[in-house]
Amino acid sequence: MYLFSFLLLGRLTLKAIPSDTITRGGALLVLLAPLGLAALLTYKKKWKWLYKNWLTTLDPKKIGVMYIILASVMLVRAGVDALMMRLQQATSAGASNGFLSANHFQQVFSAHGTIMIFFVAMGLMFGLINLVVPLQIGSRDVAFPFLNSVSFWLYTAGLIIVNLSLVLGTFSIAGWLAYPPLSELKYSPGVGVDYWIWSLQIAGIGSLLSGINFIVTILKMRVKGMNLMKMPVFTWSVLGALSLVIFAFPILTATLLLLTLDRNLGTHFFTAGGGGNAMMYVNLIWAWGHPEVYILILPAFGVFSEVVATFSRKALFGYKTMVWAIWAIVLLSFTVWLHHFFTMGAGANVNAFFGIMTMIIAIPTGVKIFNWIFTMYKGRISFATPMLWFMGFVVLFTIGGVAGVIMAIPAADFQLHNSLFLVAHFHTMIVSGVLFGYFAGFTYWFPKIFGFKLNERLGKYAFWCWLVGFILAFVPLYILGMMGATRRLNHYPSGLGYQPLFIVAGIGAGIIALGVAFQVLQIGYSIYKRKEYKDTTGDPWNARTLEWSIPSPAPFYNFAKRMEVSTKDAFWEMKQRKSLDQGEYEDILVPKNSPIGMLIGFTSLAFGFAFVWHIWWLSGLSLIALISIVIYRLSQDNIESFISKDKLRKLDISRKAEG
Amino acid sequence: MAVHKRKQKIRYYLVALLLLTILVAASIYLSSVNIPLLEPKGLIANKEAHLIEFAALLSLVVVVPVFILLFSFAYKYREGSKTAQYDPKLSGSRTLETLWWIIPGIIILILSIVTWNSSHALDPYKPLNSKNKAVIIDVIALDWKWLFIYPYQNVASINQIDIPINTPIRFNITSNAPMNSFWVPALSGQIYAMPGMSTQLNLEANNIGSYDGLSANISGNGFAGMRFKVLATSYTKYLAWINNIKESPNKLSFSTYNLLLKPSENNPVFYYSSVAKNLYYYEVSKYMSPVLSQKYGGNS
Amino acid sequence: MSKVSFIQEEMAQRNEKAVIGFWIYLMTDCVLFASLFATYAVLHKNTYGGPGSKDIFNLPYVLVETLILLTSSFSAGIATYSAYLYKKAQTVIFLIITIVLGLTFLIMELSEFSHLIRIGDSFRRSGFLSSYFALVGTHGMHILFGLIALSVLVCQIMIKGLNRNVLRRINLISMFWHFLDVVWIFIFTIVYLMGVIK
Repeated sequence: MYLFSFLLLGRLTLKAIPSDTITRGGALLVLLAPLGLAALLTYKKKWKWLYKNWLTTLDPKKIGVMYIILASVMLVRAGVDALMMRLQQATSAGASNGFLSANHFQQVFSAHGTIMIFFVAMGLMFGLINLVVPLQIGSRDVAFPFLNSVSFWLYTAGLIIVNLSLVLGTFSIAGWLAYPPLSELKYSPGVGVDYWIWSLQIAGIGSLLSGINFIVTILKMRVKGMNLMKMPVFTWSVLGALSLVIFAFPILTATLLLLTLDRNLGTHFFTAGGGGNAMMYVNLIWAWGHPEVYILILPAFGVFSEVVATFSRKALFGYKTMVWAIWAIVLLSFTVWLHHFFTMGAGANVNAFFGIMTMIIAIPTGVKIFNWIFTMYKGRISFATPMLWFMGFVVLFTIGGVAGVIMAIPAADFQLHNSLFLVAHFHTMIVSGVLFGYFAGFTYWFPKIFGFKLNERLGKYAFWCWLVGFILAFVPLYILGMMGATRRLNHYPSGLGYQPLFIVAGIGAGIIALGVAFQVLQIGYSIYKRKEYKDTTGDPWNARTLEWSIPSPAPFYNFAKRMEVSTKDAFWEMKQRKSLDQGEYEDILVPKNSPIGMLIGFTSLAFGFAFVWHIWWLSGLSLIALISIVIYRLSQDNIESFISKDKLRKLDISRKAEG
Repeated sequence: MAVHKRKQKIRYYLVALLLLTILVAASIYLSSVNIPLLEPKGLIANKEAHLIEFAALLSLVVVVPVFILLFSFAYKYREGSKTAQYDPKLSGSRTLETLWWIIPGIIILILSIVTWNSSHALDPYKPLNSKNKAVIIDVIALDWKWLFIYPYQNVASINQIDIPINTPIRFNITSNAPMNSFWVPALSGQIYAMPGMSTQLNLEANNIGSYDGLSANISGNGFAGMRFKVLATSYTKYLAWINNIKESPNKLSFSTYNLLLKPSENNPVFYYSSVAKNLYYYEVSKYMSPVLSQKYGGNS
Repeated sequence: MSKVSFIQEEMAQRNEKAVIGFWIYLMTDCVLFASLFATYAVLHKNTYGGPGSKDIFNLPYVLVETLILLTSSFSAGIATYSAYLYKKAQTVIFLIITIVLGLTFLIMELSEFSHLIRIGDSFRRSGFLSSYFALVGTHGMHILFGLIALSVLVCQIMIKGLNRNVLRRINLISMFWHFLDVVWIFIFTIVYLMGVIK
């Protein structure tokens, strides 16, 4: 009986179903959300619509929307994790132990970090890249449309795996980077770390493929006349970020692979003993992890560059220095990883070198900030929501940057490392630099994708909640770090004076949650009022780049005519010269929808899930299925439909009549 | 219009008042609690605090102009301003752009020199100069407690140490558990405790007192309870403390040590009046070389 | 522009994109191998009482493996060349030769692995052996996937003939095969040669 069950289900038994109330609640939510959605779709008879228009689509704009939807759901999910952590730390002093066990608390913070980075920040980033980059460079599509859908479905598979850990079994307790030996079999024998590994491995390969795809798109598919130094800065930043992706993500793949081997085949890469070296893991993971930070932040910098120029009605200040600064950051970001562990006990020379390299990155970053500010100089600034996000970003990012420079000095870092000061620092950088950036970008490009603008008032409420909430939530953490409070504490003695500060931080987190509620409300209300907010011009912000030259929402073929540009800020120039609507119609090929990307996603999901639970027959089977599906796809010939220029002209004219 | 303006003015005053109240409340609270990083009690922590303050102040050279420029431009060039210039073609200035490569560059240059010097001066491995002879303490992070061995005094304790003030203390640190980080914020910065590796930390306490020590790196369930006390006392009191431990009936042999390896949480202070020879080296070497560890642990 | 010539232009562009994309992919694979080489460099002294590189490597055997792989790379090159001359039969023959040589290489590698495991020097023995198995094994995995791809390609040529898509794939796979060759040269030099000499 036991053997039979093992062969069939591996180590998956009834015990995997959560037993305590809080986890059960989470599991129920994870199960009910998709079930409720499925019921709604069945009731509304929308399955076919969903399948034809969304699940099988190869249109980067739709893929981008799906990325953003999933990432937003994950923002809420990992946000709830954050609230749980705040509640635990606000209540768990002295005799009180809070409402979470140590083990549960550790799962919560591990999940929070993992999901926020991989499934929120990365999701928002690839969402925006999909939405904007082809439009901005005047292209009809990405270089490899099918591969793009594969990337998205691998991201989805990783996302499902990380959330499955709420329903079956437990998640990793080893933090978002799973340092060994804690993440090794000896100290983490359960499925938690395996869930972590496979969700990252699968999503990470998706990111890598996206990286290749969009680099080729940017290099080969720009509109005629747009040479590199005429590219919009957002596209430049994406090119920088994706260059980091293709150099950094293979390191992650290799590192996760080695950890998998340690846990499943008994090798000794990172084990304590057997000749393993745990610090090698720490080096490898940060050799990926530090560039990862810049992967997330560079496109957000790009968003700000577009936003500031548009809302100041002025060309970006210092275009060339901006581009140089991006590439300086790209290069330097591979030379600083050791600053994440000055406390490892490397020699003074090594520490000093990495400390200095880290500080040098502050120079190009500072250059960017001054350029943005001087873009406002002699401009006509309208404070729409994207501009508010930008202002909030500069304030918080500068403060966070000071904290970063302090910690770049190894001897100072000895005191601040792993403390809540560090936690406050990187949240300041990532929340203001990444999230605020993507929020700004989302609001900014929303009309282009959906055809109507978002409500400004609710957007502003959301912004102020985020800003005030953020300050309340993280200033106390800076102070707590100075008071010697380390990160990841599920409990602390009373009498240290921590508790009032943790309570304030909790209130701050609550206000941020209110901000998120306003954002949800904003989207809902704007959809309700979509007729009123309709963007009839295609250029609601009086913007500068090519994506605004076409009607909103952007048609599936993006650009009806083959254009040619001669300057940067091409659309702005066209408007100045009143030479809009130039170019000729031409024949195009449009990729046909394909369910195969989704199939690849789900076989990868099955493979990862089976591997987590040691259901070997299923992982073998899904691997074979995966390879067969890929071979099948490569043998398909008729994968595109042809649209003649006459048909395109008709489509375009009827579109413009509508607008 | 006038009424509206007055209302807005009142609103600004209210916000300012609220901010002021928060600031006052916060500073009153903060002056009542202990902030070890800013109120250091040891030689090293003191220098590290100065370093933090220096870097923060130097950064203000960039931060203050950024804030002034940001808000003054935002106000001056706002939409609807009738007086401000508008120059949509202004897209750069070689002088200005060069300037903000150079100014942050100079600051970073200064900080780099400070970094280089302080990294060497405050290298945790560097022995401290003193007329007093250094006390050596071997530290092993266990699941989930700290074992301290005084090899020359041949005593050991769990979760508590006593050190004489104005005397260099040298810690050799390892782990027989997942990675931890050894940190006494009032006395010095931290350093990792890793299995199979031995790190070092040198510090000196200058004030008599009892300071909190902790693990700063997640190591599993009992991690939050891995706290210990550092009693910084006069030399005579330190000797008395050692002698007191010598009275303890418990001895740390290899077999009692193995019992100690069993994971346990929130451990009380515990003393051992003697320690098996080479226990620390056995711990470090057993993860690296089976041959070497047999040599150290062979007489167990 | 007629529909046919338009599609031809489109296909030429696609070729170009595919080649660039594939070069970038190969670069990412380079980084993957670089990580594994770095791991090997860090761990190769961590024998934990077990054998070191001098004790387990059989240089003549590996030299034969190397020559076989180099020859397969050569035949892959001839296959690509033949394909561009539209010589279908010749292309298929040389692809099959490549597959046979690749398979021989893989079998030799696996038998070396199984020999080590049988005498007790498996990947569980020490950090050094773990890193050795991971590095060489990852290369072997790539060879395996290359063999699958080559086999699929042979089938496609037989069924569909040398159409544009197939030609593009021959080009890409032969790039992949040469790349594996280069990686192997590094493995041969760094792992085997330097391991035995030191």
